[in-house]
Amino acid sequence: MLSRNEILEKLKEILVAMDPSKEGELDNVNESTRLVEDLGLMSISLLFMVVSIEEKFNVELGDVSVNDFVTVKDAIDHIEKCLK
Amino acid sequence: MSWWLIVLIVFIGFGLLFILSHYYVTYLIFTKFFKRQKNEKILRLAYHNLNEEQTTYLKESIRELHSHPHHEIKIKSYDNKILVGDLYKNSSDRIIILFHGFQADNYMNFGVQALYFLKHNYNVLIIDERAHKRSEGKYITYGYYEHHDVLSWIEYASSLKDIKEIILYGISMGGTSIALASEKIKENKVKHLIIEDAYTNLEKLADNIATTQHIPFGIFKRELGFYIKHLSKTNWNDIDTAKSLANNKIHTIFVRSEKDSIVDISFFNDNYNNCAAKKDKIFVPEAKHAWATLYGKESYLNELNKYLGENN
Repeated sequence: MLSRNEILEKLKEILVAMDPSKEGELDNVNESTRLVEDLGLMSISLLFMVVSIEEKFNVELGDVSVNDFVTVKDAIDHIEKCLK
Repeated sequence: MSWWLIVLIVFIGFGLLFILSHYYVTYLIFTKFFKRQKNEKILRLAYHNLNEEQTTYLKESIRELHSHPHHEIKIKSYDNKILVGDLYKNSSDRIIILFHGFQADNYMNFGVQALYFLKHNYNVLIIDERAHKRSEGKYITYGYYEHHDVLSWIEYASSLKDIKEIILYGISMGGTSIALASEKIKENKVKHLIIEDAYTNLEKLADNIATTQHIPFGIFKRELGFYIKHLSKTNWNDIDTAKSLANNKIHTIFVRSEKDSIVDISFFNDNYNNCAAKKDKIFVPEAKHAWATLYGKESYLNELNKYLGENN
């Protein structure tokens, strides 16, 4: 089972893959970072992130709603739940 | 107090309680089906029971589409709502505008098609319907207000430099919105309409779904009509494509997902038969509602593209 820190690092890898030009900024990403307001993820970016999480963590998230992914913490919680 | 007065008060009390709870339950139904959802879905793969191959196909298209540069477009609707979409530009003089279905995600409905048309030299504009995701609006009106939005998006697309040809593609509610808008389209750059799994009439659709789900729609219909009229400011019969398609003059392709269990085949036949313009139809075997592309894949999209090319 991955620790929360390990999940966070893998999430950062996904975010860098989505937009390599933001690699420097993404060093500061922590659990309180907001996906839409702070990282500007919306529409296809958010969907892309969800799809990448499924692939990277080898999980099936199934139905995912906007409120499930407000902050990085929410994403980690959701992934942790799927990994159990 | 005499006994009959007590009986009367109890009787009236129960009656009032029954009426109030009936209106309350109907209001809950109204909020579920006619109001913007507080927690909108991003991903609904599990819900739609797609198989692994279809899921991979969709995910890979989304992944590839994400790598194409695009920018967010905002326009104002005729009733002053901000409507939002994503524009994928290339150097072509034609643009396809994609209108998704009820409570759907634009990229879940159109991720594959958007990528296909971008690769086949179309500019692609993929929009969030009103009361969905980034677009403003409190109520979903199954095509009534949305068909005015279709006209607003046409106005935006026609203002883009070098655009000579506009194509509209809608799935389910998006298709019905295009059908309703068809008689009002004055812009002669609009050359083709693609209408996939669209219903003709909201009341008939609700009746149909309720029958297949064994829900007694009749006992809620009048009160639901009350909320539709007073809150979302439409009526059951505002959404009816028969008249608009009878006055349509734009080439239209009707797409039918063979195993659509939500929009009955009779809606497809009525839409097709009522359409006065030049028309074509495509059947996609085995496809479920709104998934013609994930079942028909490249061969379906090639057929669609062929019709677009032949009818210029």
